[in-house]
Amino acid sequence: MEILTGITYWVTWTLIVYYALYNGIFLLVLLRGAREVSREVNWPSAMSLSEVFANPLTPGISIVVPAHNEESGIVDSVQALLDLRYPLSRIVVVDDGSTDSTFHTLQENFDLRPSKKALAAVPEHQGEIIDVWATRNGELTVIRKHSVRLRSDAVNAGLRAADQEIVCMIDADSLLERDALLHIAAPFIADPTVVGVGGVIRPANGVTVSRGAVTNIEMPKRWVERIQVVEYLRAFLVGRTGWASINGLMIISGAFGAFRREAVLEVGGLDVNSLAEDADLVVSITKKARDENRPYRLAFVAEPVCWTEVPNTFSALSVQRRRWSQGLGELIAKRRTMILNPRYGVLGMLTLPYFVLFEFYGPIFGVLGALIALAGAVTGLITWQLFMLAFFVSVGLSLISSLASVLIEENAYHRYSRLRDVFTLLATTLIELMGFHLVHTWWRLQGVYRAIFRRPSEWGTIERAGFDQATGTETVR
Amino acid sequence: MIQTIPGLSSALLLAAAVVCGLLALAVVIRRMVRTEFSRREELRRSRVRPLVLDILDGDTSFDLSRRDLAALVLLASETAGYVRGDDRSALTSWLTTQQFARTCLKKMKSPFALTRARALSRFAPMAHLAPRSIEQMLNDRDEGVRSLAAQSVGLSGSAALTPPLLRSIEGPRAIPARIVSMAVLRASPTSIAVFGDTLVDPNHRVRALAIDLAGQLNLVDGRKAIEDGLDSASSEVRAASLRSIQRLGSPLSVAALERMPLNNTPEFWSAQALVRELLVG
Amino acid sequence: MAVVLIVEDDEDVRALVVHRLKQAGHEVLTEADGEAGLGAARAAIPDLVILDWMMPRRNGLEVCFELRSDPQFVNTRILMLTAKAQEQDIERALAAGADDYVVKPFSSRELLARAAALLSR
Repeated sequence: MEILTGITYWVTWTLIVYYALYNGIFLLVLLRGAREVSREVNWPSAMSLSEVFANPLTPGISIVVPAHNEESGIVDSVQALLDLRYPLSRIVVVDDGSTDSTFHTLQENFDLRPSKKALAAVPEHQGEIIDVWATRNGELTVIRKHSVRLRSDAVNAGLRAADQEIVCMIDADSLLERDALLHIAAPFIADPTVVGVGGVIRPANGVTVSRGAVTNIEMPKRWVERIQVVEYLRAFLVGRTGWASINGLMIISGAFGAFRREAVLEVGGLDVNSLAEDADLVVSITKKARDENRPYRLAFVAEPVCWTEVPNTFSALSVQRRRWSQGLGELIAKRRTMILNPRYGVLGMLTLPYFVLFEFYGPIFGVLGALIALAGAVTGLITWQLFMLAFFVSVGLSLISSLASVLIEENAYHRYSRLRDVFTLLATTLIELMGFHLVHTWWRLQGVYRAIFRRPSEWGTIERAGFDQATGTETVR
Repeated sequence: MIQTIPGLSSALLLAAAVVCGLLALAVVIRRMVRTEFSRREELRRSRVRPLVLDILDGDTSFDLSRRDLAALVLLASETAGYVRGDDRSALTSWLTTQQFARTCLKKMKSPFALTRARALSRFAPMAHLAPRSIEQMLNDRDEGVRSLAAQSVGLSGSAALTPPLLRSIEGPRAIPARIVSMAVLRASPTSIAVFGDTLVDPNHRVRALAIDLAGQLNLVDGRKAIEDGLDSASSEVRAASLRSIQRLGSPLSVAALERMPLNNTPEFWSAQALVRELLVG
Repeated sequence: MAVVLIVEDDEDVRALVVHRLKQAGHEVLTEADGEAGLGAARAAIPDLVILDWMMPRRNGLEVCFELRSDPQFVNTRILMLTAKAQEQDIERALAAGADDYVVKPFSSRELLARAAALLSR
């Protein structure tokens, strides 16, 4: 009995210290992020943006869009991309073995002709290219290829047709705001050592879209979607901005990220074996720059300019989170020589260890610790006071982080137009911690298990409703 | 066994609850304050907008409250950014009578980078009225402010500031070359005289950039200075000269090209190719 | 005295252009996006359309195409007013059927002069 009490006691204290560190560090990152967001928002950028727009020396951007069975929304997406405010952009759509009429709608709507354009020899990809089509003025190129059911393979094929200085990789259903490219190009222009720029991504569920442009922003209706809104605020708006400010950024999302084309080709494009190909790319680029002693910077634009659909059912969400967790685990294993290696700067000494200890192993502590602590308090092995302390550092601090993120968003961007949505956001921060957090931790634990024991992952598909042509609005299932 | 201090956990939880409550309240209050504030500002702006048109017509006799006047000054300075010619002069003249320039210049000396940046941004369309101050800001300690200063040179068309702008790509407080190039092109000087002695600057990077931009701007009266770059010891300068000679496309440059030393380098052969190109026209 | 339609999403620019055209004695209609602009054009068949390029809900180039492919507008002149200033942009606009092109930042005197020239044809 004594031993049991002792174990429960020490486990609970470990849990307390662990979560105190985790949430404590996150709050620090958050403070840093808040400062950056504040500076970015208040900085007079109108002149810079219009200068970037009007200038002949502005670098060109190749937008690479992998698409698989996107017939319902691909035309609107491409049209929206063509309408973006940027002096020089080229779009490369990769039709990755679609079995529907994705290609035919593109061909009809954009008057595609067979292209004689020579593709670069790199990067390599597994699915072979069938043919290449383009519009007369070259603004849009469509590559048809055989699918190996991997998005990164499609992106690599698309990179072969990218001929501009900067490549921007997005998802077929990402919605970019009109000035998105101007914002994401600015760091490249301001600093020649910048090799990659990430942007804030917001869930598009609940957002009204007309002809590929965001017209009205409201909180989505389902709790599963609302919870993701809060998560994304915390992780993107604040988390990534904070990490970028100390040059320790590890992930630039595949849903919206830009890199210098040279930097991507140097590391051979995306790693098709990785489930977390976006993080993998950033880590590879960082490693290469450090190994060769070259100055480099990864920047993050905190202005929210990209909206993307997120899973709208718990089961789809679970598939995604398991995959992310597994991907993270595999990436860490692949790059374990970088961890706590001073040669790799902030990424090696701070970011990677943080992710290993708190994001990867976190779920184990989370689930086991929570169960043991709860059992201990209920059976009287530990005092309720101790349990409350554990509750404070885990749930309490976490709630403070979420609320702080919402405050930062409200202060800086206030994208949600209705007052009602503000209340929904606040309510969601609370709801997220009641049950979802634990379930989410369980999914991540499953991902960790798979990463350690190398189970194959599942590839979920989001059931997507396209853009409703008649009413010009998006219907979300 | 370490005892937890009695009441500590309860106190912490209570504190957490209070902090959360305050944060939530802050969010709601911020939203309500902002909504009200924007509404008022929008109304104010609509009210003063017709007066901007009056200023453009030369009619500046109006009597406004302090806040309305401030809104009008702001609107006028923004409008000055997307018009030019007589319209811009009318606006800048009026703004000068409002001590606008003086206020901006004072703020541009603020110890806070953000304040300096915002003042500079507002002042940008009129930057040609205070070239010394802008030149100083090209050397500001904050890199964002330096870049804004460069951009305002371009926006205001202050071509006279081209030499300090070009020289700012070097040194501890440098401005990225691309931003400088963009600014020079935007200011679009029409004569090589504006470039001053940057075309023979001892710093190779500066000289190469000057020659490059002279070519991009198609400054025909700079042909001689561009050709002189072919004699430079720096390959960067010589390459810039070749590019600019090609852009100018004048057969008169053939003489200078043929004076280049004979050796089996890619540079020599591209010079030869250029000779042929210029002769064929 | 002509009917001029201005399709421009920036409120301040719109106000200025409207003012100058009214001063010159024309009847002025305005719309703030491409879609609404097309609708207004079809309803009024203006003599001149001053068109911005970058607008929500149908950009200016598309509107230009639409108008030129519709025989109703054979006598309607189109002037593009935009910050897009590269040679290829000007080419595209003229190819789409624009009769003239003014770059922002613009001089309202110049704009008026060009508008007058187009209307007198």
